[in-house]
Amino acid sequence: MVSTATWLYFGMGTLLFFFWVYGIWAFARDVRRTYIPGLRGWLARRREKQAEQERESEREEQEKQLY
Amino acid sequence: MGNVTLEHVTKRYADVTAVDDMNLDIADGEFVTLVGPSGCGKSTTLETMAGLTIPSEGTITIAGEDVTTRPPKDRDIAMVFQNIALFPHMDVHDNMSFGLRLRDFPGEEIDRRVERAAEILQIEDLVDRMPDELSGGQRQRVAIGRAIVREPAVFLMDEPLANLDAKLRVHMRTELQRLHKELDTTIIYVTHDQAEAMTMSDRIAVMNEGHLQQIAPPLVCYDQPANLFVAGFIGSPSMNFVEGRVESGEIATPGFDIAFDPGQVPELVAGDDVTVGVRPEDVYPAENAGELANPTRPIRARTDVLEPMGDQIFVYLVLRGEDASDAEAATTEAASARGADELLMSVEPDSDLAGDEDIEVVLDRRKIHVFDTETGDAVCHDILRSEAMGGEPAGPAGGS
Repeated sequence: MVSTATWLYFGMGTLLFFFWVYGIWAFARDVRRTYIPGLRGWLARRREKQAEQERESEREEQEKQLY
Repeated sequence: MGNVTLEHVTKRYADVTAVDDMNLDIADGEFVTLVGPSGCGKSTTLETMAGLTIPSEGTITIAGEDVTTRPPKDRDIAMVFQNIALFPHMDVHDNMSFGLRLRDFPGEEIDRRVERAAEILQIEDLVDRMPDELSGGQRQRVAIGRAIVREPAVFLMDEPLANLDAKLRVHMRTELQRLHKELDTTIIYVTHDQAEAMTMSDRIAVMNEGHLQQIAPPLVCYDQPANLFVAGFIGSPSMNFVEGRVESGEIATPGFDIAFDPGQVPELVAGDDVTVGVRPEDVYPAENAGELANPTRPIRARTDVLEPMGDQIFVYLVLRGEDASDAEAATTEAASARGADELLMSVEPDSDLAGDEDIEVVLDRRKIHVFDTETGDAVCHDILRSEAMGGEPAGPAGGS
């Protein structure tokens, strides 16, 4: 007969294993759904801001040519 | 030589066409104003001339050279912006000479030009001051001075007076006219203020929704507008418009009929839907009809609101209609309910007219404009004797 201690040992192990696997899966999901889109968005905004600054600076430069 | 030509210039932004097939021919030394409501494409047109925007289609020629894709510095133009944008860390002299220093002019030449510009603009005493020590008008003069010292072939001005208060704006208008006389250089000026356009320009180019509506001397635009838009935009207060229909020998409107000789005005064909336009100053109380050589028949109206302006009174009239009985037309509400039209009349300040008063008015038939209701184009500007349309049509190249 399997003793209560053994049941408890494997039960606790399974519970810990579940949360360990869930943690990895949840992290992978967050990376896919949150962190990567967030990073992409940040890069896009940064690129857009840089392009906007370049446009403004070019416009300013052109306006100076008209002074 | 500062002649500027735009041929079929079009500017598109994604799905918006800011300027559509613009044709302009501006002579050397001319003062031309682009005028129109906000978003009509006048600033975009100016920016294509300046090189700040490259047109999607068409060519721009300055002093005989195609400059369509050239950068601003290679166009021999100077521009004054609405935002004065003086450098806060430079004094007036340095601000004015900025463009010359950028182009490596010798110091003596810079001093000579700044001195001359300061003299023209009467700011000789201010050349050592910093921008924050100047008033709005003085700053604007410095910005204009910055353009003058360049001695360009063409001056471009994008609403330079828009940020000034009303009194200063009127003063600066005369300054700009004086400046134009003195420099005799081409000036292309953008404004949405039709009073500025009327008072300063040799010709005004009226724009709407990216299209040139009419380009002509100010009084021609006023007296012989090419279409309903120009008629409504030029002149303050705006022209009265009443829709009607041409019948044999008369134009019938809900409020009154205007007789004309069909032999004299062949453009008016019986059955045509037309819009009659008459300026407020061409509407007279019937008792003053004696002053007019060709008044219409008396038109029954009721005074609504009076606006005393000091030098004149604007009287809003509700037309009562020729067939309306006194009982029907007893109130302005009843007249409005019948679909009667309104007229704005300008009278002398000593007039004793009051609100809610039944009066008769007449129109000066020589000053009646008739437009095609469907197209908005002018049909004639004088129903007694048809005359050639004023201004030049806003057509293709050369139609300037």
